[in-house]
Amino acid sequence: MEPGEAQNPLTQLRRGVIEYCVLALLTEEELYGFDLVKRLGESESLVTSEGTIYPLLSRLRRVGWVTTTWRESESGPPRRYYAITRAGQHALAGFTSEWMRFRDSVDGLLGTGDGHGAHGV
Amino acid sequence: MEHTVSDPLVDDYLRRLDVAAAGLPPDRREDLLGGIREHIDAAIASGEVTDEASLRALLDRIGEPEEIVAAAAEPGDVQPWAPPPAPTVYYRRPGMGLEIAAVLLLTLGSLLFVVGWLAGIVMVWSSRRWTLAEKLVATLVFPGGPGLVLWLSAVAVGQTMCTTTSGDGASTDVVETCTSTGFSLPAPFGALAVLLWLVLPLVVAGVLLHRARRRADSEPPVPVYPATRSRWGGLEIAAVLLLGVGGFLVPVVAPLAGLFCAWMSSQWTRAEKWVATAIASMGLMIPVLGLAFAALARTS
Repeated sequence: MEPGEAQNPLTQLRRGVIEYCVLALLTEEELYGFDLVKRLGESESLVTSEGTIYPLLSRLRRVGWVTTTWRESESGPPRRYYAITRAGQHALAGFTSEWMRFRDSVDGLLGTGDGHGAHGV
Repeated sequence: MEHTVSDPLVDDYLRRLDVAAAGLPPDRREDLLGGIREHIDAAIASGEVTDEASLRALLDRIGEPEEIVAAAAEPGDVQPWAPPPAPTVYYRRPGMGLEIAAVLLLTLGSLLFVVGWLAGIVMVWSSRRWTLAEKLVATLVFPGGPGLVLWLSAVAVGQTMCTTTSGDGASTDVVETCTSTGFSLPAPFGALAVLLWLVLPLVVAGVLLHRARRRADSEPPVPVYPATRSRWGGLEIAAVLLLGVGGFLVPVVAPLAGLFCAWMSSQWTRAEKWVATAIASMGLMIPVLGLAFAALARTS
C-alpha cells in the first residue's frame, strides 16, 4: 500500500467493511463477479476501484465464507457465481451486531447520530 | 458462445497485472487474473463496451494493477511488489581452497622447479587472509622454496667440474681449479643452510595456514544456494580426470584441457579453480621432471 493511501482513514475502513457488504448482497441471491461489482458500485464511495473486489472475493472463498460454481452464460464465457455459506452467514451476523454498536458509538461521539437513520435500520 | 476477448489494450492491462502480482502466491495470482479477465469479458458481453474509449473507461474503473494487487495483500504475505521469496539458503564454513593450495605449492610444489613456487606466491599475494608482513615472510623464506635446494644440490653434484692446468713454462706447479656451476656453500655452513632452507619454509607454511584458518573462521558463513550445491557436473568430472591422470597419458595437452574445463565450471568457486590450477601446473611439469631425471641418470 502506498504511504499516502494509508493516510486516508476511509481506505482502511472500507477495506475492513466491504467484504461484509459483499456477504450481505449474497444473502439475497447468488451473483457473479461483474454483477456483484455493479451492485456494490451503486452505493457510492464503497468501491473506488472495481478490480479490488476480486482479491476480496478470492479471500472470502479461501476462508470458506462463500462458494463458487461455474455456470454457462447466454452471452459470453462461463461465469463464476458466488453463494454465501453457513459460515459466511455466521460471520455476517456477528459483524452486523458489532457494526451497529460501533456505528452508534461513532455517531454519538461525532454528533451525527441524531440527524436521521441512526435507529432506523 | 463467445471466446475470451483478446484486445491489445486488454492484453496489455492483464500483462501489467500479472507483473504486479508476481509477489502473490501462485494460486492467488491465478485467481486474481482469472477474476479480472472474467470481469472484462462480462462487461464486454453486457454491451457496455462499444469502442476504444469505453474500453479504456472500463479498465480505468477496474483500477491500476498495483492498486488491485495491494488490495490482495494479506498479513504474512511478502509485499505484493517484492520479488518472489529467495530459495532456501544453506551456509557453510568459509573455504580455504586458495590458502591451502598456496601453502602446498610453496612447499611440495616447489619441487616443480620455479613454476610451482611462483604459482604459490601468486596465490599468497591474492589471498585476503594474510597480512602484508605474512606475505613478505612467505615470499622471502625462502625464494624458490625447499624444492629449489634439492634441485640446485642435484645440479651441483652433477656439474662440478675440475680442470687441471700446468703452470707456464719454467714452473712445474700444477694448479687444479674446481668450478661448480651449481649451488655450493662451504661445507659447515652448507649443511646448516640446507637444513634451514628445507625446514623453515615448512614452519612458515604451518603458521600461515593456521592463521588463515583462524581468520576464515571469523568470517561470516558462506551461503550455498541449492542450484549451486552440486559440484559435480560433467565438466567438473572431466576436469578432474584430465588434471589427475591426463598429464601422464597426454603430456601438456591434457592438463591444459583440464585447466580450461575447471575455469569454465560454473559450480566451482574461485578458490577451487585455483586448486585445479595448482594441480594442472604440476601436471604440466611431468614431462620436464621426466627429462630431468633422465638427464640425472645419464650423468651419474
